[in-house]
Amino acid sequence: MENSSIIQINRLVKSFPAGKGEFTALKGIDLQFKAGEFAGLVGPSGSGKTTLLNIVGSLDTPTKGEAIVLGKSISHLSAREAAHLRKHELGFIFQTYNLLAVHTVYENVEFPLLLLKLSFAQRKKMVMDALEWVGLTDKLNSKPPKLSGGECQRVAVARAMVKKPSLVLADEPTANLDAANSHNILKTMETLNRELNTTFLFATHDEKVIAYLKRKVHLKDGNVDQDEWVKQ
Amino acid sequence: MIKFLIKGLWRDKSRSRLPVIVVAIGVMLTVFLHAYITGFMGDTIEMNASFSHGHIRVMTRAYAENIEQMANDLALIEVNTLLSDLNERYPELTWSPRIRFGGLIDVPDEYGDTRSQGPAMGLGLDFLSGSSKEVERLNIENSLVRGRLIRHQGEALISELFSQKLKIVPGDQVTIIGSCMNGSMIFYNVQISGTVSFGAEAFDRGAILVDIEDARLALDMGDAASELLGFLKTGFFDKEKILKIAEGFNRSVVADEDEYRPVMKGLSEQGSMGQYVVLAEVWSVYISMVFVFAMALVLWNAGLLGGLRRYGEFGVRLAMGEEKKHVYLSLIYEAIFIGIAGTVTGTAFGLLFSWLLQTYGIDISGMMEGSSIMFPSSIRARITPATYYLGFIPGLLSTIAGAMLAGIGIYKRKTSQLFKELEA
Amino acid sequence: MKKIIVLFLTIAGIGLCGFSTPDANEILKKIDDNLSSDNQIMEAKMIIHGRRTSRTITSRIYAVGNQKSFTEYLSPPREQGTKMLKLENQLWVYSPSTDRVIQISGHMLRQSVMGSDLSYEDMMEDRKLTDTYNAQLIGLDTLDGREIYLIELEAKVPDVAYHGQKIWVDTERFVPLKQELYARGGRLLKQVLLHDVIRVDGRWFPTKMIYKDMLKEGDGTEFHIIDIQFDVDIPEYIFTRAALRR
Ligand SMILES: Nc1ncnc2c1ncn2[C@@H]1O[C@H](COP(=O)(O)OP(=O)(O)O)[C@@H](O)[C@H]1O
Ligand SMILES: [Mg+2]
Repeated sequence: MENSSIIQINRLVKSFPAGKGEFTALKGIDLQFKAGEFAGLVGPSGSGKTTLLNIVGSLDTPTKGEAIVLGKSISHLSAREAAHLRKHELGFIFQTYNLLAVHTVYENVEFPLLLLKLSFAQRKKMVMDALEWVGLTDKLNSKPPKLSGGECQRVAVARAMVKKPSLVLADEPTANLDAANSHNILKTMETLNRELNTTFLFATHDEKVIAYLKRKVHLKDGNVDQDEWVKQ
Repeated sequence: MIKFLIKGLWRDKSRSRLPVIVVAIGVMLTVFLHAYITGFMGDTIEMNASFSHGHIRVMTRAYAENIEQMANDLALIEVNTLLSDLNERYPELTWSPRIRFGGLIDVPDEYGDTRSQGPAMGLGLDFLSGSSKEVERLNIENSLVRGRLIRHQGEALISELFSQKLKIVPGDQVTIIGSCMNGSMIFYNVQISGTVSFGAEAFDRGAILVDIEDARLALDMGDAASELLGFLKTGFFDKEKILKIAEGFNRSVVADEDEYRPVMKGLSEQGSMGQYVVLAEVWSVYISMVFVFAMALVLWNAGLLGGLRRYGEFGVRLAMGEEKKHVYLSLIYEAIFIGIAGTVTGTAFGLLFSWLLQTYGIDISGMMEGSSIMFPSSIRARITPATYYLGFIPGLLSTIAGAMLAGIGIYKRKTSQLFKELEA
Repeated sequence: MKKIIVLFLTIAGIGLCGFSTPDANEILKKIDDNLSSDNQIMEAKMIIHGRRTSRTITSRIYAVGNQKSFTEYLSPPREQGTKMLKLENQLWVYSPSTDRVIQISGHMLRQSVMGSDLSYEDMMEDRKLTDTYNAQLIGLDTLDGREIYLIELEAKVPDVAYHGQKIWVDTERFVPLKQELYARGGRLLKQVLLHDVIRVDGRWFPTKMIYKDMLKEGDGTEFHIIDIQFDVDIPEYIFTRAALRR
């Protein structure tokens, strides 16, 4: 799988109904990502980063063109197949963490494994591993409202990573974090990218994040403005 | 997974306890209100039936025309023959001959002169034959205030209020002054065996109860009766059944031109009671329906809001790869659980309060003065089979309906939009 | 033109009264002379034609002047021994079955006596007509072959049972042959027909009266005087409450 194409986007157009007409948020995107990339969609607010990320995450469908994720064409997936793809292959990290407030840290991280119907022992090991990656083994039984923003986002990272997905999609993961926490999170993700060869795709306009990216896809008004590879 | 959902449900107060409490309160109010209306209206009907109207009443045609006058010159005669005929024809009914008479109660002083006097409403009913249920029907035993029931001929019960007005106590002898079947003034001595309070304004003001044989003797009404009251053996007034019986009977005697031939009138055909029965039917259905509907709206709305509030959570769960159907069903199962828990709790509390009101009642005597219908002096609820299941309509069905509607959003919206709901 | 006719008739009417007939109040006085007396003992039979049955009740009545009377019922068995005493405007009834003497007052006075068309009030009223009513002659006529004066009475005292009356009076004997009794509003309450006029001790006296309570169903009550004696000695003790119990 090394260096093979994990995301293939061809002439992708996404329009939303707006008023009487429609608003085109993505105006024909052509992109390709390989497994193991640590890439990001960057650009000002409203440039279409989230829209593109949602389509890749099969949370939304293209209007025209094609998005093939892990060999599956998003526009041709049934709701069930999309759920299956997300369940097995994708991990999400959101700007607002989106943790389940009444569940403990452990339970939040465990949730994706419940969907995979793994045994209790398997789940426990994987959850503990994930929490170790993010350094939260001492907060197992805390509930999100009791945690700091940084801790919450680390739980979110653990939740996204616990099932060792092929692709993690992170939408503005640091928008609500201070600099120290931002770096902390990014370092963790960088390490995971390296050690597990997980592909990371960010959507961000945060310079701190951008500094870590190995590839920066600049979006502007729904078009790819520049596709920049960082020399290592 | 189920454990996970239950944990979530249990820990999230706004998802479990609050909706359960809201449902329980709504259901409780519905259940209680229904029992209350049924009780109050049913009591009023049965009370009037027991005291004066019967479920059905047989009188002479002439007597029926001026029923308020209690004109015993128009009374039924040859009652025994009529009774055995009725018993044969209507095995579903029991019959009670009654003599109603107006008159005066005159209390003598030690010289036999009038010490006090007051207008009385007399009622002769079967206390002593041993085969009648009249004492239970009028709940006389429980209505006794002082003294004891009538055990011998020549005894009478008098309403407590009246006894105070006349300043008499059990054991005293009083004279009933009235007019007999042929209009002659009569005097009849009775000994007061006890005082009663029925909690019915009209009755408690000035009633005297005697055994029907005493009334017959006093009023020269051998083998006669003012009226025969028929009661369904089920104990509850059944309008349709009674009207059919009355109609059938009246048709069978219609050829008889005699103004003293018997006619039957169902409770619902008798003056203001008729209006009340109609009112009671319409009201208990209306009020219950309006309330069930209102509660259904409230609970449906609560269910809907409870669902909408959680679009963010659904979004996350969908993003994690949970199937829409699964999310949707889990929402419905939660609603079922909340609906059942709330309805059971609410019904239990509703039944408890209804039972309390059924057992202890609320005294409202004095509020019903001057009414032409006899109202019970206390409000009592009545628990009927409907009381047990009525709460499930708003409690369970509405809650589920609300959740179902809220859940449609899971299908209708793109998953990406569910997050938007959360962010907004 | 109309006015002139009315005026003429009025004068003619005055002329008629003035010349050929006695004054209406004069007629009343003559009726009183016939019907009321100082003492009387009377035996009477009352036939009550009720709505369903007819009954006969007999009684003996003692009266002194207008103020005192005593009635004892003789038959049927149910009524036998029942006695009534009236002194001035009070009335007591004795019932043998209860051995009670009970005063009848207030609205009870309006009740029927023994189911008849007479009320206790009717029995109580014994003041002279001249003391209670003003009379006016309103016509001359014949009734059952007898010449009559038709007079109209209006109460001049407040406590009478009937506010107005019409009486058909025999012009020769000054005995009422028919009476109509009216309420204040002009509603006809009772009608009395008086028959079988006989001559006793120099008076004309009707011995059969048919009372009809117009507000009651049934065919009226006949009141027959079987025997009547005027101005006989009646012992005083009869008119005491003690006599009721004996
Ligand atoms: N569901 C939607 N309906 C209508 N317009 C939308 C919707 N989602 C996004 N847009 C519009 O598409 C454009 C791109 O949005 P988005 O992808 O969220 O931008 P970014 O994440 O880069 O800030 C914006 O102008 C936004 O208003
Ligand atoms: Mg965005």
